[in-house]
Amino acid sequence: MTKISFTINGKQVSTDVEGRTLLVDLIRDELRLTGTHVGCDTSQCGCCTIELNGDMVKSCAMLAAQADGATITTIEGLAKGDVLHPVQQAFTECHGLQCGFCTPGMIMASVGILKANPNPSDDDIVKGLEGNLCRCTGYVNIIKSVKRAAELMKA
Amino acid sequence: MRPVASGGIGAPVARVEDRRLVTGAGRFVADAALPGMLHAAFVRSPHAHARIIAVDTAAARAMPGVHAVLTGADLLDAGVRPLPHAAVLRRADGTPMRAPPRHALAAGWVRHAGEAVAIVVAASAQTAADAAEAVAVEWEPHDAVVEARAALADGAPRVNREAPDNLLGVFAHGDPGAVDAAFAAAAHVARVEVVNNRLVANALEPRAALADWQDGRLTLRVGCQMPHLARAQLADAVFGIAPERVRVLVEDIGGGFGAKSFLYPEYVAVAQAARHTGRPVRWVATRSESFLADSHGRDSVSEAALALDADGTFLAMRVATVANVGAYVSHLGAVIPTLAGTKPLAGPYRTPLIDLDVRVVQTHTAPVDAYRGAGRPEAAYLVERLVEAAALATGIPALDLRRRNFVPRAAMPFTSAMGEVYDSGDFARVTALALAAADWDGHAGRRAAARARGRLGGRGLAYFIESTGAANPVESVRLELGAETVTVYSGTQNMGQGLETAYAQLVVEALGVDLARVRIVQGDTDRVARGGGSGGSRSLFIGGAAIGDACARLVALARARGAAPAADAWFAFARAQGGTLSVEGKVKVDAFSWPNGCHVCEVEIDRDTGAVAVTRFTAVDDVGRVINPLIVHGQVAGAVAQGLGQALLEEAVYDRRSGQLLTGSFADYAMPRAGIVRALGVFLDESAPCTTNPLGAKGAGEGGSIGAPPAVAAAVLDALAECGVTHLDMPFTAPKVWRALQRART
Repeated sequence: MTKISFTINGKQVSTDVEGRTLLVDLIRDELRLTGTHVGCDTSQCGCCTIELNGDMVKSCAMLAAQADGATITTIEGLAKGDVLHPVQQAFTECHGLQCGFCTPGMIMASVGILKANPNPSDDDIVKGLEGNLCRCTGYVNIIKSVKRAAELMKA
Repeated sequence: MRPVASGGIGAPVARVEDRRLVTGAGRFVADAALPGMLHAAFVRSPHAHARIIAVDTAAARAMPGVHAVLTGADLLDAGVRPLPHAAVLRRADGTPMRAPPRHALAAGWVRHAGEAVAIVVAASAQTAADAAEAVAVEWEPHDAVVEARAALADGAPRVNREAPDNLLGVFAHGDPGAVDAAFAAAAHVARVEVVNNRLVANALEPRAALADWQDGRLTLRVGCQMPHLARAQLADAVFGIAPERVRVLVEDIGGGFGAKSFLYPEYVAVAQAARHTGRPVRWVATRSESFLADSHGRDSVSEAALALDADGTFLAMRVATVANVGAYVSHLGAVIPTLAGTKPLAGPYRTPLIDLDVRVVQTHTAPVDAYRGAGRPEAAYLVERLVEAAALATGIPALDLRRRNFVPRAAMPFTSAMGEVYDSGDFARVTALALAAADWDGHAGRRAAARARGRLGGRGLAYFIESTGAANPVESVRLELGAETVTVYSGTQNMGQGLETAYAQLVVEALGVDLARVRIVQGDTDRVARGGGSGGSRSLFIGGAAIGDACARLVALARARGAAPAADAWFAFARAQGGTLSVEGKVKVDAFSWPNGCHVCEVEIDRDTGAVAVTRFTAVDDVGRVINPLIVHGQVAGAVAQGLGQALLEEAVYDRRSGQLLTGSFADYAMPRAGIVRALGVFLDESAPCTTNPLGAKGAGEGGSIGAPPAVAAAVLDALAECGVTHLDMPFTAPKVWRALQRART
C-alpha cells in the first residue's frame, strides 16, 4: 500500500492505495464520485475523462499512486452550486446527450478543447473528441454543444 | 401550424432528465453500492466448443477474501432452471424447434467463446478477478462452426443435439407457384446476394447487475429495458418462485438499443450468488466481456430476386435467407429474422407476390437478438439493394422504379404482399422532400469537384418502411394527482431516449399543468404494477396513449365531481378532494405502426486508400405526430450514425477455424467517432399521422439504422460503378473498397 494525497474538486484527500489500483477505481469506489464512468477496458471510450493538473486525462489509464500531489476536477466539480458550467449548460440546451453515460467524459473533454482553443472549428472539435465514444447521439449535437459552450463562455 | 402549448405536444423542450446526467448525478447500476456488498467475476470459456470434463474451484475458494465459487453443477443442484426464450418456429419436418438449454453457467458443454462457466464472489472486484483465474477447468475441445451457411453443410460441427443439422427452424411465406409463374412471365429479373453483417450493440454502459436476496425475496438492480419481463423470467422460468418475491429495479440505463431487453445468464448467476452468500452481490461487465457475452445483432445472408415487367413494375419477389441465431436462442432470437423482421419485407412497394424462405441456424457464436431495428434493417437493406440491382437490369433509374412502384397515399390502408396493413404514409411526398433537402440535382457539381480533387463521388437513395409496436399491444399507467405534483407510473422504460420528458409533455398537453410539476416513475416492479417495457419503438405511441387515457379519465372524474380544473387549479382540486386522486389509464394498440422515410447519402472515396467519407446525409422521416422535435431529431441522428457504423465500419468477426472473436474490444471493433457524419440534415414530415393509435405517432427510435445502410450502399456502389465494381457487402471499410478497386483494375 502507498499513501497518497491529492486535491479533488477542491477537497484535500489522503488515502492508502494498492499499487495496482487505477485512479478511476479510487475515484468511483473509494471516494464515491460515481459521475466518472468506465465504458471500456482499453482506454478508448473516454467515459472516465477527468482534469488532472490542468490536463484532460483518462483516469482508467493512470494508477491512483500517480495522482499523488495532483489537483483533480471531476464532473461533480464543474458546476458552481446550482449554476451549471457553460459546457454542461450547452449540452442540455443542444440535446448533446441521450443516455448520459458518455456525457461526463464528453463534457470534461469539451472543457479541455475550449480551454486550449476558445473558438474551435468543427474540425478542431472532431479532433478534440477523437478519444471519446458516444453511441447515442451521432455526435452531431455534441459538436453543436461545444460551439454553443464557446458562445456562452464568451458572454 | 397549430399553436404549441407551453411544454406540450410539439414543443422542443430541453429534457428533464439532463440535469442529473450532466452533473454526474445519474444513477447507473455500477454506481449503486449496498452495505456488505460482495463483487462477482466470471470464469469464461476460452473455447468456442468444448466439453467440460472437470472444474476445480478449490484453489480459488481458498484465496483470502473469496466468499463463494459456483459452477453450472451448483446451479443445477440448487434447482436453478435454464433461461427462457420464445420457441416460435418449426423445423422443416413440422416438429417444434428445440434449442439447447441455456444455463446461467454452462453445464456439460460450452458452445461459444466467452460463455460463463463459473461465478466467483469476493470482497473486492480485484480479488474476484484474481480468484476467477485460479479456477482450473479441464476441457475437451471440439471443432467449431461460426458461419450459418457453413453450419448447414454436411459434417459441420454440431451445436445442438436436438437439431443435428444445426437448423433450428424454418419460416416461409407466400405462394411459390404463383411467384414462379410471375418470374416466368417477367421481362426483367434482378438478383442480389447480400450479407447483413453481425454487429455488437455496444451501449456505452456495460451490462451490470446488483442482486440482494433477503428473507426469501430477490431485489435485482439491472439496466433492463423491460423490467416486468425480467421479473417474470426470473420468477416463473428460472427460480420457480412467485413474482411477488422478485423486485426488479432499474435506474438510469446507459443505452439499450435492444440488447438490454431481456434476462442474461449473468443476472441469474449473480442472483443465485446473492442467495447463496446471503450478501448483496454486484457484477459489472468489462467491455471485453460485453463483446463476448452480450447478444449480437443482424448476421444473415440473403439471396433475392425481383421480377419486373417491361415498364419496371414489380411483379414478384423471391427471398431466401439464412440467419445465424448463435449458440443459444436468446429471448427473441428466433423471432427477429422470421416473424418480426419480415413484416416490412414488401418495403414501400406494391409488389403483389413474395415468396420467402428463412432458415434459422445455430453456430458456435454469441446468441443473436434484438439490436436497433431488429430484423427490419435486414429487410430494408435487402429490398433496396434489389431495387438498385433492378435499375441496372432494366436500365430504368432506381428513383423512377421506386416512384413507379410506391404504394400511393390514396391506396392507404394498404395490405402488402406480406399480409401487413400499412395504415398511412405518403412515400412519393417524402421522397420529393428528401430530393429537395438533399439538393439531389446539385450532386453532379459536387461529383465533378470531387473528381478534380482525385476522388470518386457517389450518390445514393433508399426508402424504408418498418413495423413498430404491436407484438405487445397493451400498456397501462397509474396517474396520481397530488397536492403539488402529477405522478405517472409506467411500465415502459427510459433508457436515454427521453421518455421522461416526452411523457411529461403529454400530461402538460392534457391537463395544462406546468412541466416541472410532472413526475414519471418507471423501472421498479414494486411501484409500477405492470408494463411491457421499451423496445421496438413501442413506448410513446402505446405507453403515451395510455397516459392520454389516464388524463382523460382524470378529467372525467373531476367533471363527475362538478369541477373542470386546468393548470394549477388541478392541485387545488386535489387538495379540496382531500389529497391524492388516482386513476388508471389503459390502451390496446393492436395494429403495428409504420414509420418510414427517405434517406439520401453522398460519399467521396479516396482512390488510393479506398477510404469512404460521407460528405452529406439527408434523412426525411415520417414518424407520424411529433411530441418533441428536439428529441426526435436526436433519435434520428443517433440511429443514422449507428446505420453508418454498420455500413462503413462495424463487423463482429469470428475466426472460422478456432471460433474466437477477433473483434473483442474497441481497438478491434470500429465504432463511429465524432465526425462520422458532418453535414447531416434531419427533417420530419408529419403530413401522414398514424391512424391506428390515439396519438398519431409511429415510433421514432429505429428508422435511421434502417434507412442509412442501403442509402450508403447505393452511394458507394454509385461511386465505384465507373471502375466496374458492381457488388460489395458491408461494411465498406477502406481495405475492402481498395481491394475491390484493385480487382476491378486488373
